[in-house]
Amino acid sequence: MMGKTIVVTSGKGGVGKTTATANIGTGLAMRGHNVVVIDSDIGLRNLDVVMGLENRIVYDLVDIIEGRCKLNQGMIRDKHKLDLYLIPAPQTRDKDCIDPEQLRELCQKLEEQFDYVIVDCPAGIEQGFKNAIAGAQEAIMVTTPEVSAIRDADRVIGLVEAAELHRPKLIINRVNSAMVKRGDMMDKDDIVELLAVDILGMVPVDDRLITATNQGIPVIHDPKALSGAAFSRIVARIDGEEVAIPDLEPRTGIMDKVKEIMGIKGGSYTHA
Amino acid sequence: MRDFLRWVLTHKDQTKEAARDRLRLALLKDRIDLSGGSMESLRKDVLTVLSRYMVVGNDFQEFDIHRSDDAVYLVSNIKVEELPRWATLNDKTSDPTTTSKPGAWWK
Repeated sequence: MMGKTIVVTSGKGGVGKTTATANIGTGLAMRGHNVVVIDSDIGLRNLDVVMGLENRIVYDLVDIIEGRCKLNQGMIRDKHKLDLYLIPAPQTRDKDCIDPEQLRELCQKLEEQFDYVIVDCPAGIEQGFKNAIAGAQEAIMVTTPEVSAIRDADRVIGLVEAAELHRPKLIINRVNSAMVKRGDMMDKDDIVELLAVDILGMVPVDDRLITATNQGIPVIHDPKALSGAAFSRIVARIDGEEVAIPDLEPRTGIMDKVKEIMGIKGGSYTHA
Repeated sequence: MRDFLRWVLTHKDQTKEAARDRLRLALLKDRIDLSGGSMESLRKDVLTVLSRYMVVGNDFQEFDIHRSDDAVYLVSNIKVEELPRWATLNDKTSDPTTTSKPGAWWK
């Protein structure tokens, strides 16, 4: 059976594309699929550190494309022994050293071997973006609930649709449910209405995501992390399961009330 | 309760409304900038529709998007050459071929 290629994109930088790619790739592999993730951000490699594989890089994406190594030599196996592989971006090359056609060919070749090919797209709408979307059949848009990120997402959704990647799906990252609750952050419905796209999931802002990333472990491995649970639900939806999108609610346990009264406000939120 | 107290004490508006309204307008303006070719086909379509109701000049004198600080407008301007008699002011029927009763317009 042929696999499929999904591009993870956003427009604006720093909204969590790479984190989303690492967690979606890991989550799909945890569900028993064989997965390859590609860092297409040539010159600004990132996915390797998020996955904790930075010390294992020998070859990279451009080495594979230019034939300096075999395909399987250029893929780094995940350290948790999942059926998950990384193709890292070169650090010392330029974005226009490859063209969309070359990446499309590579994705097609990988689809024969893998269930899912996940491409981490660079920020911006230039050459790197055009390369990254070339091989994809589906697109995932990552945004945060901020004016600037949503505006850029709208622009990129237009470009993605023009490239015949219909109905990109939206992930809203770093949702602060306490702020949503008091009306100081746009919620799911506001954003979905503005962008007119289908939603794939919401990820709460979460300290555990940062501590996991510090260690080079995708947060989806952390059973206690709310962001990890959110990514698990997103992955299940990608995999065709119907999972409801819960509203994010501040955790209202008795200890949280105590903490709140004492003024110790942590980032602990739960899902209703 | 906390939210209510906060509101009573500060009367602070929810900032999400501001974010949403600003975004709505920004997206509108961005999308217009990118609409290029579709403005031309809109112009042709509107001209076709208009000429079903009246005889108009060959083309619009003006057919443009105008922006103000808080809204976006489509401004168009075309010379009307001839109006059929049925175009009375309060003619609510969508079918232009039905003739209104004489004098019905001022009711």
